Amino acid sequence: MLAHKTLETGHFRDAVNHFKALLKIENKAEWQQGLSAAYQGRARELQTKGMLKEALAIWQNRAQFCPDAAPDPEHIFVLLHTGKIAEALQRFRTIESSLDSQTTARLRGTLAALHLAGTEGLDQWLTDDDAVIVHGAAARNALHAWCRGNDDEAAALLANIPFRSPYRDWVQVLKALMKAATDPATAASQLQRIADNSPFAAVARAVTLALLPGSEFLTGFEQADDSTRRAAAALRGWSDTRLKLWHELQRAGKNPKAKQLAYLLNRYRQPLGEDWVQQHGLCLLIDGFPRSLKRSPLLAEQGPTPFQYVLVRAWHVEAKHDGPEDIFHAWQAVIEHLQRPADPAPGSDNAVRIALIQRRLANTWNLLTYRPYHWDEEPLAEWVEQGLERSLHYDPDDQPTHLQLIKHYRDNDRLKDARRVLDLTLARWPNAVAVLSEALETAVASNAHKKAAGFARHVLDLDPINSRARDSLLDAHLAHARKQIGKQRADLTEKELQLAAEWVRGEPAEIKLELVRGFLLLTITDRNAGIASLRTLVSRLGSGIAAQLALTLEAARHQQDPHYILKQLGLKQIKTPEKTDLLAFFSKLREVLDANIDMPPPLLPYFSATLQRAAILKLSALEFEVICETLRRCQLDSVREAYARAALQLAPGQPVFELHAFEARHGDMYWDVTDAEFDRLEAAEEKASTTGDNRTAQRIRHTLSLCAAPPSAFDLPPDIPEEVRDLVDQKGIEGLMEALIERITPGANEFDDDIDSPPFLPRRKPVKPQRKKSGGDDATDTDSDQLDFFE
Amino acid sequence: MSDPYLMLGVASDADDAAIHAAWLAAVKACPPERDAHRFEQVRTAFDTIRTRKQRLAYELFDTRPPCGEDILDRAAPEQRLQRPDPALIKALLRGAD
Repeated sequence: MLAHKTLETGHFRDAVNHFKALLKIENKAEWQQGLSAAYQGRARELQTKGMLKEALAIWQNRAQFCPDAAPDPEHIFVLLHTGKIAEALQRFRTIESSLDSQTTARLRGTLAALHLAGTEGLDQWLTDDDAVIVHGAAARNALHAWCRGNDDEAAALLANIPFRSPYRDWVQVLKALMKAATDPATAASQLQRIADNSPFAAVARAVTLALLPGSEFLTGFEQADDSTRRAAAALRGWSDTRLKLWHELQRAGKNPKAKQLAYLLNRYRQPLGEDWVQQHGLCLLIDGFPRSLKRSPLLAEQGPTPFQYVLVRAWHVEAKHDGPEDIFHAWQAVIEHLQRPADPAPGSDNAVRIALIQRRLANTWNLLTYRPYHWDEEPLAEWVEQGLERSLHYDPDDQPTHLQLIKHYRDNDRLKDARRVLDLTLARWPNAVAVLSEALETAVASNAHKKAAGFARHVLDLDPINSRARDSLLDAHLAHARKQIGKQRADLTEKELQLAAEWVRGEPAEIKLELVRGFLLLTITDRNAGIASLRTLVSRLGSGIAAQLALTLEAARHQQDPHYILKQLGLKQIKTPEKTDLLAFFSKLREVLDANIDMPPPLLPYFSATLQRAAILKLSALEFEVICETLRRCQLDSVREAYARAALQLAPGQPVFELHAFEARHGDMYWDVTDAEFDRLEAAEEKASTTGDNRTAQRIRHTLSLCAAPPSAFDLPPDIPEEVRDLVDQKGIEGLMEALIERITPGANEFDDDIDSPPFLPRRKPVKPQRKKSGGDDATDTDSDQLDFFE
Repeated sequence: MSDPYLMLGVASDADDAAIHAAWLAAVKACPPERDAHRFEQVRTAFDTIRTRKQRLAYELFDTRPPCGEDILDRAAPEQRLQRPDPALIKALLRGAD
């Protein structure tokens, strides 16, 4: 039972031993069959592993100890591949008539492959009219012709081999080889048709491997056996040096250490080339800098050159993700080196290198917009900005940097600087759409509407489908028209409106134009016609708060109070808007915020009550979030809090709404945050982190850090005496604390002589700086302590 | 392969014209429909060093260590598909190492 079970579970070696032991007891037929099956299983197992000699020994044992067992064709394959041709053929002939056609074809194919390989002694066992012999010459000659590079001759020889020949797979392999150089994809697909157990499969595998692209080839090469590797390497044109180097790289492993690679590069210095080794070896010295420079075999005996030193140091600082100041100074050292002995001429290699470094600091490390965390940090952004300006001296042909600087200055309301760089840029690229677009944006930002119209026209001449320029041009004409309304010049306004009308495409643009025309009528030409026209427009916009926003925004551009214009048109404040109207309102509001359009102070408060009431509307979480974000941007915090709280009813504990509710409640003043609020925000941060909402988690962490940060004098309650504010400003909260501790420490009698001592502080009062407790008697106590303390 | 010069088969001091010519030759030799992977590698290499400024930036900022393929190709470049000695094919057919 045990022997049979072992056999069934595929433990053939054990099964052989069990059956042999049983047969020693009694020569039962059942156990003979079991032994035969165990030998068969074990032999095939070894054969699959490529252990042909060991497999042959097992087959021979089976033949000897199980003489009644049916002959197995696999035994013949092993005999053939181990050079026992006579015995193989003898066994083949014995069982040939009982074999199926596939096995026969495979055995004959193996004979063909061995004949082609020039296996000695094979011919004498085959008759002259055997297909293996008859087609063998053509098959062999075709191989030799192909190896010589004579594809035509090879193809002609292969044409002599019939389809049913034992060389059939060989014909396919050789045909694929002939296509390999010119059409590797077809060659690979031809080779895929060769079955894995084909006698020619080994060649097909080697060729398939050789056809793989670089990195895939190396992976396959690593996994292949030696003979496949040798053939594939030969097909790929590998020299002995390459093969030797490959073996060395294999020994170094998949991710060799920098030090290992450095030694390898050093050993192959001559074939790799000195310059290449110097250039590519340098980055191997980043790890362990500066010690790595001292010991490296890649550098000359005297060590690194000054340039190599500063460059590797800059790389090292970057790799370590050191602070922005370290990164800046490390690259600055490289720049200083490049400026020696004299500042390089603009456009020279060193000048471009300097410019590239300055741009890397601005862009890759975002130092142009870097905001220091501490007041005593170096003004990196300012230096990087100067560097970026200087980069235009070194490499004046870099248009993106010109555009970047213009936008940077414009975004920071430094229009004079923006125009200065713009003039240089326009002089260099007068017809570049990107430059003209920046010129257009800058003119709009400068309220130079005529200029903006000119640039927009220029852009449209070059790029007639540029919708941004078209919109800007329309806006520029409308802005100019508004100016003329302000000057009571109806004629000039009409002229501008006619020019603007040429650029109107679509209803939103048409409404923009008609709104201005309405105000022209209302203000100058015909008040009643103006009121009628504006009422029609409000009606076209749905007569809701979105329409009122559009109207009051336009009114604001004509210096008209929102209440006044609505009163003129007989429009009342909307009590509760419909959902679509509300969403349209926020969409319009976002448009205004995105365009940086100034909103007069009374405008949004006019809508506050309506918006606050609308927080009861059924909105999705996404709609709530978008609304809260928009309200955050326009600082309508009381309304934002209403929406955040409504959203929290819908999705309790949702971190983003917890944050909005918190921010909206406290603004930038965190001194009155209660413990409960703080804890709740901490829980929201944890939830955001757990659910993968990293952006919200990050924002909450930032807010929490502001809550926990020591207050500045600005954060102190308004009733705090000026002396305390000064002390906090000069020495920070720690300074204040030290002064307090000194004041309450017994024996600090000399305290009054200290110029830093705050005379207003009560003596020996226990100080317990903590957040205000929410509710309860404790809160009252703490509050009263704080009041005493600051009074 | 990480070295764009090796990928395009040009010298490290090659100019714009030489690099452009190598790019055209590489695209002709391996169009995307034939070998998309290699084409992508060649395109990346070309985009890395096509102009003088890019070449200077590559030299200044590329800190990737040379990979095995780079070292092999630099020290002993392979030839595209050679005709081997028939003996190597015969050894494979014999199935013996």
